[in-house]
Amino acid sequence: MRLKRSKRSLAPVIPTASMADIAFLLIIFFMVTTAFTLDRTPMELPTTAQQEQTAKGAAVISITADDTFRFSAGEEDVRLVDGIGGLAEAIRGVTAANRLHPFIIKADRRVKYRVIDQVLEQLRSAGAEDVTLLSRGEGAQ
Amino acid sequence: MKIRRREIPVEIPTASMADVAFLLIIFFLVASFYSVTRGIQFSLPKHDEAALTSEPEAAVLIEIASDRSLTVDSRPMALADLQGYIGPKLQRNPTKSVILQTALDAPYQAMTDVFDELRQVGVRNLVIPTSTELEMYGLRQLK
Repeated sequence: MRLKRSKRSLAPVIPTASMADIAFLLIIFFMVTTAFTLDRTPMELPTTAQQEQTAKGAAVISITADDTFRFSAGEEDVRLVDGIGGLAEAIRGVTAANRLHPFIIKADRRVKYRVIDQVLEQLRSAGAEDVTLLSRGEGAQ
Repeated sequence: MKIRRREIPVEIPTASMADVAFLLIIFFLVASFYSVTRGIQFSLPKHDEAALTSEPEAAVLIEIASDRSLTVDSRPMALADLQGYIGPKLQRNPTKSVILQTALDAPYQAMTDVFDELRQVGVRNLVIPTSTELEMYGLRQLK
């Protein structure tokens, strides 16, 4: 028996409808996981092998090699603060509202420990508990 | 005369939507790559809590001098040997306290190097006393 071939031809179409769905799913993933840096001050961070993800919305204390302090409560970009006194005031402003607010110390690797000691002192006296020392992973460029 | 209406297929053009979406993906991918959001985390003692939860004598005392040399329990030690020294102590007592004391003139990297080693060996009870706390506990401040 001879089979009759159907005359209806299939239009060559690449189904692209679901591609946008996948792409938007990936966008949402990267949007959620990307934490935009509040501090773009160029500095050489210390390198460590062990690293943990910092908490989102953490307050940032930025210390450059020339001992300049910058501070952000976690929402806005960093601003210059007037020495350790200005930094202490800014830290107290954050801990007064929420004592469990996380803090990130972003300091240049060449900074003297004396400065870090002063910052830790202020954090301790303000009642802060959660502190992360920002670092670059070993092997990272 | 009868005018024949040409039928327009009903469809939403979605071909360019994927292009826009992939462009956004690339943007977020690059942004997440450049943002440094990782580091070494530690907890400061609670406000009403003593900085040292154990006696300084019962803890391992690591001192970092201004020239980055290490002294562990009053003995000079290389950074590479630190894990071998603390590892067995932690196996016997996983909650063994370690006090990390850094000279004020030492570079910050010297402190993070030791901190990193301690994290790798699994020290849970790490104390980083500030100058005021050192005075409080009668420990000398390193120069």
